[in-house]
Amino acid sequence: MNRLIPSTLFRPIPLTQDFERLLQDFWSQVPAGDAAPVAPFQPAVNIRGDAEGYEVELELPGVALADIEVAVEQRELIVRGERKAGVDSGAKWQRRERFHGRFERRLRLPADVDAQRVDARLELGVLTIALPKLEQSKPRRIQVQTVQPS
Amino acid sequence: MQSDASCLSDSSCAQPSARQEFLPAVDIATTPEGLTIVADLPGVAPSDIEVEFESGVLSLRGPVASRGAASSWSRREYGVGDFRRSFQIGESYDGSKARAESRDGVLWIRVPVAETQRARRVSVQVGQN
Repeated sequence: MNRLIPSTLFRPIPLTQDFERLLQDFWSQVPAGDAAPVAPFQPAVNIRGDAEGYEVELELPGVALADIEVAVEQRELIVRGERKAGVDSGAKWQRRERFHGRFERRLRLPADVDAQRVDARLELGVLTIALPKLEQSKPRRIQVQTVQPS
Repeated sequence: MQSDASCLSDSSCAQPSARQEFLPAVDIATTPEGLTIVADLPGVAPSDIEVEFESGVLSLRGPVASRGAASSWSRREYGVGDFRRSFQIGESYDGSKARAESRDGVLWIRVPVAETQRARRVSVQVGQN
């Protein structure tokens, strides 16, 4: 997603009519849908891990839960789906920076992930996938007993 | 050069703000009713979003709640921080009448066409001889 732009680069966008026309001309060069098949958009991921497991996070704002599929196939985590435009057909686009259509991201799972217990939640457009580690690969905690002096 | 040196020695100046801000990706469309701005604000609660219109500039700010320490990420393809972006609105739209709603991490702002710009339809009466 187009987020790695620091706000220091920010400049207000003038929406004067000339500028609108300029943008319109620019975006009209995007090939139409019936041209060569477009590869699905690859959403960016952030991954963190600890002793218990891993967490994979993707930003998928505006994607309905029903339009997201999270699967594990051949030790690969696959997140795919579709984001629909959601604007009336009569609208004329002046600027399109958000991704649209199909998206897919594949990640090879580390060997210590328990693929049977993958869990995902979607909140405010952020998808978080929890990948717990296999029990045998977790560090063992040995309880220290307090011995009461008799 | 001197000002740079004094800046480096000044701790408040040498340290950038801890949290970066990001420009949200936007789609902008025009309809006969007005302007629609669609902004991706993943991780922003609707109640925390601020939309302001002042001196012809429409600004949006979306504070993002921290999702764990940045150092805990083993792979980081995108940064997480507050969103901020502004748009200069042409006189043909009335920014003071903008309406905003948010769902699933997406903010929709609708700015109506200014009253003065609306085409006035004059009904033509059939003349009687």
